Amino acid sequence: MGVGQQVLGGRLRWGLTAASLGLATGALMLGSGAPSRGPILLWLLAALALLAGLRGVRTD
Amino acid sequence: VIALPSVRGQERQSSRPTALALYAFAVVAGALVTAALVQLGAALLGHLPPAGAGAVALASAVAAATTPDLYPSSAWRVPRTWGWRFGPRWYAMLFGGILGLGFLTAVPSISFYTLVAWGLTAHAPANVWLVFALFGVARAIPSLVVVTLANTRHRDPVALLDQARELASALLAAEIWVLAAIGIMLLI
Repeated sequence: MGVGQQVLGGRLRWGLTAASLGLATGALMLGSGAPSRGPILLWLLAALALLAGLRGVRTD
Repeated sequence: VIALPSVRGQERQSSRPTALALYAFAVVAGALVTAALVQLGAALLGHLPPAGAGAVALASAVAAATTPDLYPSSAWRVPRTWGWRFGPRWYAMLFGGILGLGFLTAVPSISFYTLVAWGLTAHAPANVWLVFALFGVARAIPSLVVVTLANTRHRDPVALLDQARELASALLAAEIWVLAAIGIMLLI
């Protein structure tokens, strides 16, 4: 297996791990009996907005 | 903005902080314009189910995990000639405002689509303003940090920008995690 394939394989593995952790977190929050999912969802969306903005390091 | 073009061969050092402040203000303003457009779209489309935004978030999480750099985006760039045409301050404002919009130039992240899809289904306009304002602030931060470090510590802005890009790419896992959590919460 080439270095490129190893990098891609590693990236795919941690990417899917992160997605699985996210699914588990969301399911836990839904199943925890929290009175309202609205505030939690808003916090997550705020975090996503920050991440999306920070990831856009571009000069053009 | 990092290297403001000289105007008629003259670049005033004193204009840089002003241009940077205008740039930062314009980025946030641009993001708020997108928030307004999203809410206009929501009003025109009527009541859309939040599950649709959940599906976009989950699909984005899977796409980011498997093919992180492959998503629809604009190839248009702010013309460098605008620097000469409009002058440093107007150029900084136009440049920042267009980047803040998030969709005219290269889309900063696949998560942008989830933010738009959620905005189209959101019931509370204040939340949409808040989320897009945060997007604008976060979009302005890297350039502000790079320019400030380059000016105060006399570091090479291009090298700093490369470092910022590496740091930003390290945030991808967190982004996928949050996308998946939002997706499942909106779907169920």
